[in-house]
Amino acid sequence: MSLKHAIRAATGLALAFVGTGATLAYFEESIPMSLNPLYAKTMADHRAQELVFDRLWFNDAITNELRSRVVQKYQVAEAGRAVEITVKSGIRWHNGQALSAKDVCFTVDAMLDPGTPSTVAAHYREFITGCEEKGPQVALVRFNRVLPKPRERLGFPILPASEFNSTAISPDLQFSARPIGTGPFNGKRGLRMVTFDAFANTHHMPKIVQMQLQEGGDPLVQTKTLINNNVQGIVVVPPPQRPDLSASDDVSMKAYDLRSWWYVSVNSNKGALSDKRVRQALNLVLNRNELRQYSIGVKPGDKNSPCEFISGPFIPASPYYNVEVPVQPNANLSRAEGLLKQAGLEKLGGRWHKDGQAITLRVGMLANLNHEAPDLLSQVANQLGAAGFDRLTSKISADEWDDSVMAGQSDFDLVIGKWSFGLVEEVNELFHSKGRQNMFRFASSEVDQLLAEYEDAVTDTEQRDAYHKLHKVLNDQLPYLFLWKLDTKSAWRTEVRGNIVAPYYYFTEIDAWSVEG
Amino acid sequence: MRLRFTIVLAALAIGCGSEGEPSTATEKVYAAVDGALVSKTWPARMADDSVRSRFEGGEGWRAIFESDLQAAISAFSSGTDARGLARAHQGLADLYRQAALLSAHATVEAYGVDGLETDPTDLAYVIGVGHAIRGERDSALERLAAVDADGPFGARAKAWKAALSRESKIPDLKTLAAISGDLGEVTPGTDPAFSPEPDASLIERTEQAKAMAVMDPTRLLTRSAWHAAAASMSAPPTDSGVLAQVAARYAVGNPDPNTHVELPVDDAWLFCSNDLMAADVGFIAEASVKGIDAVTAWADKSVLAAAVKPAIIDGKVVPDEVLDAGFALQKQLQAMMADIGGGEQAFHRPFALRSRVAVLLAGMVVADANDQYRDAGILRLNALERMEQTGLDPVFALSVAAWDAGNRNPLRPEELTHQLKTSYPALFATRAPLEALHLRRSRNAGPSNPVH
Amino acid sequence: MKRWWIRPLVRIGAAVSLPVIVPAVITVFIWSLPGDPASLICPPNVCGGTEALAERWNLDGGPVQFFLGWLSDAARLEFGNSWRLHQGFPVLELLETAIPTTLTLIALATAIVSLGGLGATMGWLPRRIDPILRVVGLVPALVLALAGAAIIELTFGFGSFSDSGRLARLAIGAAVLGLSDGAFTGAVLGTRTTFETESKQRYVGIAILRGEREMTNTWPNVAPALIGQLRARILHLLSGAVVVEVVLRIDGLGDLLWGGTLRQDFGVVLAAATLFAVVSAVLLLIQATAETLVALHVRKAPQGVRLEEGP
Repeated sequence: MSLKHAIRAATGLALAFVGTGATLAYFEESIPMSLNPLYAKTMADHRAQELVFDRLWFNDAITNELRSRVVQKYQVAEAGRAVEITVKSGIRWHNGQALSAKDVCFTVDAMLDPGTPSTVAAHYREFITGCEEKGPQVALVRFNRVLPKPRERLGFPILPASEFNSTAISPDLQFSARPIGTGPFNGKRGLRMVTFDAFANTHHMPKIVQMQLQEGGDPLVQTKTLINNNVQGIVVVPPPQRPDLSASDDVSMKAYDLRSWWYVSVNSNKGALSDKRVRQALNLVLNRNELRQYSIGVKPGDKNSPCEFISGPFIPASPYYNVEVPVQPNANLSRAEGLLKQAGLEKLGGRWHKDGQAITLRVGMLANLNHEAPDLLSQVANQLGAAGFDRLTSKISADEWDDSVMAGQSDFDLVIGKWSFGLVEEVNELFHSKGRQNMFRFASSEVDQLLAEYEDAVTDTEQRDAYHKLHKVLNDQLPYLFLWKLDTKSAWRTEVRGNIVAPYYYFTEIDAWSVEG
Repeated sequence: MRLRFTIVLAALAIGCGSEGEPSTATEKVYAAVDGALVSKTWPARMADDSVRSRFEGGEGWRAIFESDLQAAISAFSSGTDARGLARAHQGLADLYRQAALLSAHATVEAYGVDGLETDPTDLAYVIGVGHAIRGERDSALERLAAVDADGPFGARAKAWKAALSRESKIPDLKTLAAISGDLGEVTPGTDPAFSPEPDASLIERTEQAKAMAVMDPTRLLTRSAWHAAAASMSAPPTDSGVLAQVAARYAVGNPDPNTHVELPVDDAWLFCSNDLMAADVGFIAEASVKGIDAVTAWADKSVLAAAVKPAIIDGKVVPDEVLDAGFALQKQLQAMMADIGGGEQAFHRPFALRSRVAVLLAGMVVADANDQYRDAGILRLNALERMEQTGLDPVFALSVAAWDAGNRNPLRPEELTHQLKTSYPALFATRAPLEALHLRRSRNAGPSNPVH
Repeated sequence: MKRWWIRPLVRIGAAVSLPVIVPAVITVFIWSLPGDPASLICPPNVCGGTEALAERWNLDGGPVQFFLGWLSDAARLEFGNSWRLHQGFPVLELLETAIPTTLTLIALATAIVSLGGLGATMGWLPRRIDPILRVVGLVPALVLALAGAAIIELTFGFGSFSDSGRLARLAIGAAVLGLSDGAFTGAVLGTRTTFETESKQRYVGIAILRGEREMTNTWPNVAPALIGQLRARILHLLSGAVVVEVVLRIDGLGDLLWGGTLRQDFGVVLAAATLFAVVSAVLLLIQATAETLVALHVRKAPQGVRLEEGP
């Protein structure tokens, strides 16, 4: 590293220390599984990676303007099938090397390399074909078709070519725990905590010297810790804790734009559940009002509720939501019973049997959701029990969720989970018979056809109509029992200033954050 | 001589220090506002039972407190409080005006900026109206000229062109009603029915030839003008000037560039509003055009101006300072109300919280006028977040939604209009362009998986 | 007994072979499980690169190839990176953190247990407290550990993983291990019973009549039993350490082993399990050495003794 750059970096870092010299500690939903953006699986991963890496382009958290901190200029090339990108000079990686076009092309090549087993990269392979270095700071990214607004699609984080021996990037490389980025912080994943140390650069001047992330445990302990100023923030505040924190003058509740909806996924390939009528009956067994009241604390008729029932795989405010498909807020046990009998089930001794065998439902829930909706699993199990089903419940760790449930190798009958979306609310991967996130391998030709209709849509009207029909069909076939959408809120102490929370990525504007006192 | 006093705030600490010992908690010092000004604010005066009693027990004022304008109109329709009724009507006028702006922004961005070859040609009409609402007269005329004269919007386009040729501002109620359909005689205490039927069904230029149900944003303008007329009819003649100042806060189009004066404003205009005292009404009206100059001019008579003034550093509004000023005023008011009322009472905090929001909004108005678009946005979003505790002001919420749509962000507007549509069914008219904006942006957006 | 050397020899044999047998057994067990880590991280139907990953982790050539490859790397202290549990962390680094932590935990717990034994030996712990000790001994490690975890979280909050927080976790963990599941109680009662039983032997009575001390006579005879008891207690503590480390979130070998098993992180599981085996092997060697020394001491001809000639 040249002396001039060293002096600049040192000055920048000194300025950062002069700023506040403060450490910001906060609770997250979970420890990030990987700090390598190619292997982001959870929202905690995305948020942590936002501190370490720069995305080629991003949306301003306030004005939504499409901006870049690393691109100096761009122009569309090759009749719309390429973009020529000139990256800014003087930007340093956390290892001191300079950012160049080589890094941009390396990132593209890594995503395209079949030896990189990344589900994130798999999406980019669908439209990026390659990258060519046109100069030290100029890269040409090519697409397989004309893209009307290419910058909007190039929001991937840039990786440093200098840190890898090949473009086949494996998830177990040390980079996943000790990443090198151009972002405002240099992250290090520990066993229980992730620390982010400020790294002043020509394009980032963080005012916080260090950030520390820990997995939030018991919600009550998190709340008390925040109020007692032993931690400065909680990224996801469970609904039962929100009133206490709202009432405190030392804490600000921040809206976090994340489109999340909760569901009970049904193993439609297993036993009695393969019959649609049984799934419909289960849907009628659930009393959503009670579930919501006892787990989240929202009563029927509560105004401005953060939790609203859904009847399909979108939130009610979404353009894809089919308002003509009604929700099922209360149980209808008599109708459920009728459906179960039609499906050939018998009720003996108060328990449902199929072919003489009592039906026992294995119900699981992603463990960390219990913080947001305490006892939801028990409540669901109780309702199933009251309807005449034996059940076994278990909380599913994040490991088992990835290893078993998402890999399609789970033995559960019902699984409670939550999906989060940003601007793009595509659900094809969840319900297509070959979908990468179709956890129980639900297969329906009608659904596949509608999803193909969506993919082939020429206009947004056609797309919307396809998903409206999908909503209706899914409400009938019920690979999921759709529960509700739940707004996400964060809580930060008022000593944390300038804390603009970006939709989805959260820490996009971290440079403006500071800690007083 | 202006009195200045500071409020020392101690953060919460574990345990308590004994008397005489220095506190172990961190201390913050906020500069607050001249107590004489603060004492004139409606929260401070409402601490007095005799002043507050006017607003207690009435359904109309309860509705105002809960920001439920429809319920307020119904409650005041019996004639119990003319000013209350006028205020509710003006609120609806502002609400529908902002809804029209929201629709305009979404339409122009979705069908104009992101227009597709497959779009029906007559979409040019709604785009043209959108431009007109945004004050882009030339663009509006250009679009309206492309509308098929024999098509479903032909007559409307002609009427708009005629209106815009006469003057660049939004037409009056009579003209608007002639375009979008008459809402009937203006009758204070009522709300015209809303028909969810589209104004036209336009066919996309694709093989599938899908029909697009299109609602004319003019309907929202008409509804707004109707309610503005109802407000004018309801308000006492002496309050016409006040009404004009109140309306300036959410005006769309060319704001009044003239200097405003402090008018005598009845508490009915102030109670639970974002104007804390009479002078604030004039200050906000002037600040929306003159920005920082208005702050200087009004700082000795408007509590909002006085609160915002210290937050202006080197000619710029500093958002963090405005946040501090809002918090300080809240605390100052709470202390004052406890003094006046003989102790802290349950309604003190909710009232004082509104003053905090009021300061943020004032800062936002000044920043906007001072060409600090992003800083105004920061204050705007902070004010929206603070409203969680006071109750969502539907007019402000829609103004945020409109602002977002102008920034091509459909997500928050979708949430806000969804939240409000049960109370204000006419907001349904904003749905189609918002959806189009969302869908068109997501079609061009980067790939994304659902995440757990 | 003439063949006193058999037992120590068996222990030495076991000590030498354990560090090889344990990873071999685990390798066989891992191969019998359904699925493989490479396809778990990236199912072939979801994304490409699964084969490259399998090759990188040496999973593509069967269990023997994998085991031999792992063994030769382990001999050079090359354990690779964690595949899944702490993705990207060098396993050696994880072990370098975990080993001292677990050793400290076990050492502290052993100290507590040994104090109990010493107290019993020296008669510092009167019999009348035995009922109390029995009740304390009934408490399972899990229950005490949960209580300890709650105390830590409520006391330290976010700082529960700071230096002081970690120290507190270790201290509480050691106390849990040392007191629960009858560890302390067993040490006290077991040591006392062993000495009391031995003291009843005739030779002890005769030695006392000769003016010798009871301890110097009984100690060499009870030493092997006590050493065996100590080894058993340490192994009991080691197995309990897994539960305590997991519940109290102490970054030790047990926690590593538990997490690695759950996530099928073979690299971590093999390294951690082999280390447990090494620790056990070391204990076996110590026990064998102690037994040998005791046996030699017992069989040493006494000095300064003149044998009288018979009539």
